Amino acid sequence: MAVLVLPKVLWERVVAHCLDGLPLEACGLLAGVETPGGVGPGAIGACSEGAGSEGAGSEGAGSERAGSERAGSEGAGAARPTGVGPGPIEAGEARAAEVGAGWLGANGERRRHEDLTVAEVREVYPAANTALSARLYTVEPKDLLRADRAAERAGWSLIGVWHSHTHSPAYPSPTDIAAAPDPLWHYVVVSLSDTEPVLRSYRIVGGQVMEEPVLTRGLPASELNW
Amino acid sequence: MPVEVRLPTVLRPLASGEAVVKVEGDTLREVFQDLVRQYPGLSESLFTPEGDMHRHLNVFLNDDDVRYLGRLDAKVGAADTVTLMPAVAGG
Repeated sequence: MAVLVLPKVLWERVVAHCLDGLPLEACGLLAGVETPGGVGPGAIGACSEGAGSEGAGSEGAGSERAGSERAGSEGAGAARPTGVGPGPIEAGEARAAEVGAGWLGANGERRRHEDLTVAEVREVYPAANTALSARLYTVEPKDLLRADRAAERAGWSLIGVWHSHTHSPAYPSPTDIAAAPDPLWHYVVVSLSDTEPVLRSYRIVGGQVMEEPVLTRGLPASELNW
Repeated sequence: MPVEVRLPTVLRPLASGEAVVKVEGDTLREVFQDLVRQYPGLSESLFTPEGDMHRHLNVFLNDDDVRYLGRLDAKVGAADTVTLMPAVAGG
């Protein structure tokens, strides 16, 4: 089994990229989320005006809402911080105009046990959707090359891809399954079809889809035996 | 002419696990042919049955997309790097 570790700060960036196109107030969903080790929210794409500027610490704009419930989502299962900021996307509210997509960079995978590997995402690389579609995505090959080079410079590699489903659940579509290029990659799907974004991750091997747990905070070093 | 080819993870099992392979060739076609000579299992991933470049493959010559350099006819020089990456799409 594989486990994908996607720290909350990166979870936020992925979701923000997928929400691109929503009204800024909806981006409050991203404010007030606790970040590991006090790391700020960093670049939050379309939400930069409303949810803290790039490089802001955890006491940034989002902290005004910090009194609200903070629901961590550590542990196995879909990463889904809830109860933060104004929260849900209102029913009927405008959805992201296009599918969002990008890549996950990590320092490979660590084998914890014979049957358990852990990949901790260290950076995410958003891409433009050249399909300009709310249903499909394609990416500019040069974006992929840039992401690959950036990951390589940091000593990492691309270990997966994410994209959003603007109108369907967080499960790979037949198109996703048919187009999945690498059985070793992690395929993250973010659904915007419900009242809150739902992020899940999968392996796709020979057309078979296997969900894997997503942790939004890294495992303790003592647990990982790194 | 020696050329370095960088392989994506999905193709490495077909090249004895290698991430970087040294090949010879003056064009991308020759580079691919030498790659297949060394690792025959790569053939279907690089070429269509008609001998064209596989459409699910992104190929870069240094920083340039070979689609704009003549595809398989792109000229390759000494010390060039060819990077192969899988096409990414879905929805």
